[in-house]
Amino acid sequence: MFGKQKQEMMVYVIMGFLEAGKTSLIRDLLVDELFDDKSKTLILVCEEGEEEYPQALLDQTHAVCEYIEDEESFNGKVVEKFLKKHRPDRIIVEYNGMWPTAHIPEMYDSLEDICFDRDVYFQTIDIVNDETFMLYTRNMPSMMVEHYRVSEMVIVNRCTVENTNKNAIRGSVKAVNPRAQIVYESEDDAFYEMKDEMPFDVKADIIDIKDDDFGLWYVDMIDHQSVYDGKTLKLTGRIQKTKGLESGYVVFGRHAMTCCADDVQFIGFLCKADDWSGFSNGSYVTITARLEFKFRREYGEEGPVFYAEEVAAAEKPKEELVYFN
Amino acid sequence: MAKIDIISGFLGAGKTTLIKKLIAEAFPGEKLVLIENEFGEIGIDGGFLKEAGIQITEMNSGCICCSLVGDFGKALREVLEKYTPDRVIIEPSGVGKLSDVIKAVQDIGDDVVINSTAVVVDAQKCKMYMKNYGEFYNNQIEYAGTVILSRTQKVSEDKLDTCVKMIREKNDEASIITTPWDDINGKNILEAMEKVNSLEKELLEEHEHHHHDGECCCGHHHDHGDHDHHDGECGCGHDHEHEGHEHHDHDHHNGECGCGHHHDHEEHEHHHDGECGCGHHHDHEGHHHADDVFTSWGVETAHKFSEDELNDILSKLAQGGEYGEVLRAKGIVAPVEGQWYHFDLVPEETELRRGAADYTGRVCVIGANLNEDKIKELFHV
Repeated sequence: MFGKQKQEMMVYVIMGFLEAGKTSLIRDLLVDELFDDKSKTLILVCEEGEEEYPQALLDQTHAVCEYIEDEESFNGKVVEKFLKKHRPDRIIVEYNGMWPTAHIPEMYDSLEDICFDRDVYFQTIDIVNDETFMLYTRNMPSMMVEHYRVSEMVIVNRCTVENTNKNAIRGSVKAVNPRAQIVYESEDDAFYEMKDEMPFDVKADIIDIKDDDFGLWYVDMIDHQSVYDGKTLKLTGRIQKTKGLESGYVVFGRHAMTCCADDVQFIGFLCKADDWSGFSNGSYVTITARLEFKFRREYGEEGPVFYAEEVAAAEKPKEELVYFN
Repeated sequence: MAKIDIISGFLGAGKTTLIKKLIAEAFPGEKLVLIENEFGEIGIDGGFLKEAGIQITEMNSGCICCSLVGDFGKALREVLEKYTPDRVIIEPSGVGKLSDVIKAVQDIGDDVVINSTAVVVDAQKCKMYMKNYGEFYNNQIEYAGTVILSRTQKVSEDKLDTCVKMIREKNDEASIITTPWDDINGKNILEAMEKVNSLEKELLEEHEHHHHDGECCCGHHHDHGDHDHHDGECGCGHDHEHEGHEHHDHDHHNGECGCGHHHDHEEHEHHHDGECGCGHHHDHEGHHHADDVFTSWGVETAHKFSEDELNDILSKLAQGGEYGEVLRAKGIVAPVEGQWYHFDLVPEETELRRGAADYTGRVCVIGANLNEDKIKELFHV
């Protein structure tokens, strides 16, 4: 009807591998204040792990479960049947960690059609078990990365002071999805008191970034702009003299591997200097430069821009690629 | 020609622990190369390998999105040329298909022979992973010659049974190792992987041996081990000299069999009922025609038995009746507590003793008109 605001249909997609803690998270969500509104929740369970949903909990929280056992059945038609059957106010999808994430946007499109009288919103949360994070990241990076890419939030649980490598986690996630929010969970209070330690001194007059720390710095800079805004840094990268740039500007950066060898990309920033003529396109240079966050049309938004005070020719770093974990 | 052993399994299943055990206990003195295509949880430390004289080749570039197989064949070929090993152990990526790895190895050609293919499966997680991981996980189980269950000491017997059943649905030919690794030697595991120790084969060979060595007509069965007994007791109460034994062997068809009765060739051949006049039942003639008359039935089981139950089972089998005519049965099974049980049965006598653990419980029955369903019931399979 005219003038009447459309109702929302919130769809929470919970991603993550078996034993990551998806079911536990959903159980927590059900009893969360956010959900304490008598609305009906439909849980689409695409994976059967060790944990289950007790009937008492479902009854108490106005929730119902439906199971989707194979990938082919994760489609609009099947879900439409469930919607007609239960008429839920919101949906939680416990997604199967081995299914391609491409089905998520497909499902969004289907639900927009099916729930045409509502505004459909998707929120995707990825759960990672810190105990298996390293093992999985090293052996099936592509699948881990796929989850990070589509998630607004990544929850890392079972963290411990001894094992958790926050820099590796942050690097892996932010390299492919800078906007993702990372939340750590631990049973140990001491974990929360741990300071993020960087191998370089951000309080120095000139912050010296070693070749191996480029990725770490990049991720930290995305997260903590204010720490680096206006500071002078010394770091090495290669320059690309891209056509169409304003005079005095080049793109300065490094090639990075975000997932595996098939997935190398250039991470570059605008860099201004008085004279680039002594350096050929593609060569490595060490710059000592002030970093400022400016709106640039090349970025389409605010982003980091270097103003070089000094540029010197440099050797290619021993490890040419930047890694994030 | 190098032997290739492929040990697959999902991340964290325990592949590296198993390989360490095999290297320490089953492959002494072999020129061995280990190809790892996975970043393990437990690194195989260089010191340990150096001591054992083992080359290790890591191929860590591969992940599920990169073309693993092509690189893999190349790496294997390089290893063969460089080290000319007796044996290559391949630990493929935990999230890959075993059939892909097998194919890549086969493509190498005649320089290698696939000695065994195994998959390590975490007994605690088997059911959950099989249900949810689908294709690659089940592929590893389907293509494995041996399924090696890890952490079985941590699961209940029920859960272990379920796990074994689910695996059997995907692969009813593989041996399934259900015994906790600490209870068995790496050699037991290797034997299972190489399938050299099938009870059935053992029993049939035993019969063969009997026949050739000259059944002594005393109606008693001899264990495999008894063949070493060239100089003496065969259990029939007669002394055989080594020479005599040889002689006996050759003369068998013509005459003396040692039981004091005369047999001639014709008679022997036709003696299907086994009466030789010494008052004992013989089955060796029958065995002569084993293909026609007798069947053998073998099974693996993780079930734990008590002594009472086993005695009961053995007496039932010995009586025959609804179970068929059992001529021979042999088994090694897990106990409810204590050491494992080994049993041997011939109609006249049964032997039940405690002994070393095996990779899983195994039973073999040979006889005529065996009622397999009934016997299965007896052994909980």
